[in-house]
Amino acid sequence: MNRFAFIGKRLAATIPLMAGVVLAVFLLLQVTPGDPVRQIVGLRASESDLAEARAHLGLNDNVAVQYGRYLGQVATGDLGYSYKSRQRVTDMIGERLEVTLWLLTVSSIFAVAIAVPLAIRSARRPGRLADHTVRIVGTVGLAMPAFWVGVMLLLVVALPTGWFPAGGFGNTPVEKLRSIFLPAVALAIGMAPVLIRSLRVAIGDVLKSEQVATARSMGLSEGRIMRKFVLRNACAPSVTILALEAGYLLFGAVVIETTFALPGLGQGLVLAARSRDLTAVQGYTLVFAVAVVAIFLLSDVVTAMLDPRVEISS
Amino acid sequence: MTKPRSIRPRGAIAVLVVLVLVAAGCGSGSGTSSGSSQPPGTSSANATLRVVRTEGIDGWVLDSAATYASYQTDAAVFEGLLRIKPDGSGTAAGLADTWSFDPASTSWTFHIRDNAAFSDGKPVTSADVVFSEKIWSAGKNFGSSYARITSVDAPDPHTVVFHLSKPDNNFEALLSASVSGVMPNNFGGQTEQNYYANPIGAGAYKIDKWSAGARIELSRNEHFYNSADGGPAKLNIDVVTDENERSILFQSGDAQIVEYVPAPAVKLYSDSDLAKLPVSQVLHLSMNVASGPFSDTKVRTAVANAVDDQQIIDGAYAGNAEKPSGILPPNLPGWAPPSKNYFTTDLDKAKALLAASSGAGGFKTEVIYDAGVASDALAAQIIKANLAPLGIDVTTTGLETAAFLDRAFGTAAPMVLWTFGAVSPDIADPVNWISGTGWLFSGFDTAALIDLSTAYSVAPANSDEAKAAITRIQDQAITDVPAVALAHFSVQHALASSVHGTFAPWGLYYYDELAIDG
Repeated sequence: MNRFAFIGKRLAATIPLMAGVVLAVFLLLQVTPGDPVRQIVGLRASESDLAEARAHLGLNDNVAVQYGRYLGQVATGDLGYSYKSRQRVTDMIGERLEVTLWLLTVSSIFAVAIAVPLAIRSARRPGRLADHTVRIVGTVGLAMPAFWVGVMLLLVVALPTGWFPAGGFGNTPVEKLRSIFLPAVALAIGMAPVLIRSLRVAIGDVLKSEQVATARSMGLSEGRIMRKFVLRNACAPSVTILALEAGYLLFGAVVIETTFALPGLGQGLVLAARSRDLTAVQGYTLVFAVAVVAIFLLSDVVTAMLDPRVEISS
Repeated sequence: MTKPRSIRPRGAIAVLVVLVLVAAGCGSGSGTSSGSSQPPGTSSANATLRVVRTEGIDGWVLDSAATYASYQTDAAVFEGLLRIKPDGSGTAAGLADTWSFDPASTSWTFHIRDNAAFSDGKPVTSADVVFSEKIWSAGKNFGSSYARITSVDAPDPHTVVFHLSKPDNNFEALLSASVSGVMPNNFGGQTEQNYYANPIGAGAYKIDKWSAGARIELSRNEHFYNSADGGPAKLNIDVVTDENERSILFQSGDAQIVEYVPAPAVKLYSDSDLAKLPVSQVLHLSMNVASGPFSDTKVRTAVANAVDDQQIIDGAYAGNAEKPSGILPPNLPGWAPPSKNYFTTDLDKAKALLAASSGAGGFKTEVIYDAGVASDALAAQIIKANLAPLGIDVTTTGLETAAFLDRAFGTAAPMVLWTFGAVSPDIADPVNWISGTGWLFSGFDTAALIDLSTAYSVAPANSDEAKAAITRIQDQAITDVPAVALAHFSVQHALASSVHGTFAPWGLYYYDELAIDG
């Protein structure tokens, strides 16, 4: 199948998927105890004012009607207005998107930068001390909760050295990179172990293959063998693993942004949920769902590009 | 066979190291990614202050303000006719430089300063005040506070006259509250939606950039009537929900003010960092009088005598509280004590009262509290332990805020544990809160309270009649015990040593009245 047709089909398939995600969040918010209207209108509002607000916001309508109305708005790109601040939800998301993109991108780069050399080292010395050390370190990294790692980095690195800010997001690219560095490390420490394991197995398999043996017999250097044959063939499965970790990344972003006071989508979601700002919660959730789907789609395309043997088919 | 040369990941590590060094070297040593701390020797005229707080604002609609964060920030952007005095002891001139009350016509006349202007340079006129009053009165949250205003006249652009149906000695305090900020007539020609997206006020600061729950950037309003005042040139206000992170930002110098430090977090700061204010907040335990065991006054009184307020002061507030003197928060203009002694912990008396009541033998009950407030969670556990010897088996239920408010306002819980305090410099404010919440969620009849509140407000300020009305409210709380105050605690802010300010007891302060060491 033509790649473009494949991408088009996948995109079309994401629409019902995202509608389902939005429905799940919508229903969860409906069943969560507590009436959000009092927090919207004010604690001193009368019962009649609250009732009027409920009617005005359409909260008295049937759940299916509310959901249909919301889907109709989303289809036109309108995510509504925040109940709490009256800001457009799209504006709120737009203001926070950059922070989360920086965090996810830099943490992915760090995770790959940590995983690749360690996986290579481990795969080239199977069963030896290096291999065991990498496994143990990876297991420890996986076990440490991201928020704890974040706090430790603040206390052990940021505060004593002053090299990195203790929180917040900068204004210039260099300030932004400094702001993101420690949070990205905290996320990468949790992501890298899974990548290491996947890469290690894949590299180990490729190293044993006939093509590598042939390449060695032809006198190619190890560096060239690793670059041209091993990594390219081994990383395809890891691209899929990286995509699967997108879910971890997005969850981690919620935790890490809160820990490091980064004004990203994750922090926005937490604050919106705390104040029962329903439209904002739905908007943020939709963005996360789109992000996950986009990452999976991208990983399929990249995998196919890396390994022509992978057929793109229905 | 020779051992193949291993591929050393030097390249990747080297790139990482270079990135770190470049990033670290390119910033200032004090970690100023947010540009918040200023180099030494900077006068406050050029200073940028970073403030961190635990919650965001409720948007810019003044009537929607429900958090101290909102009141605090609204006061920076929207100036009212009056201001609160820095120490909260009364009102001071704001946009109005003179004002007077005419008892004969029960009208207040305000003269708007000649140099009062909005941040876009347009002068503040009486037409703006007339328009603003319509907005205030229509508010669903605070609108009823303006109910005594029958009409507002604007005889000339600098004079505005409020006609009241009755005298109201709380009127000045009301106009000094941030909810009474003056807005441009007809929202300056914008739609209401567009105006609140980027509002223009006559306050000391204007909004450069903001987003709900994210950073608010303010800079001095160059058209503010008092341009000679202090305060930073710029303010960056951030919401940082994590307690440890707020403390870390403060210690690292990235934040100069941490607002409203919760009692359990006080230990993260040194004493010299904290601006300790007079007690102004009340922790109360309300009991549902509508049904169940708490419909019996003796049961309620037994509970009031059983709870050990000293344990709550030490356990929930780490000593940063006082034994309550009554149900009303002290250190407010108009406050008066009860005529009788407030409850003291007396377990024997509590047991005797319970034995003579409809709750004799004990019963099961529940106390709900806002799970987001750590000190309330601790207090709930202490209450449970204190009531156990009476045979009262208390289930403590921490609820998420919306669920908590639902049950509290719906009078759907046997006991409610919460706090309240003032947002304007008059005792009428918390009194109105008590009546507006159905006697603090107890469901107790508020008719007598409302009558006393009216008697207070129509009496001359600080008169014996006014004090008597407040004393009777305090006494009602002791006699009928719909709710019992468990502690009077103080609000605390953490301030960098270079920042100095005066604060109202409930924590409000004006950013333009801060002094910053150069």
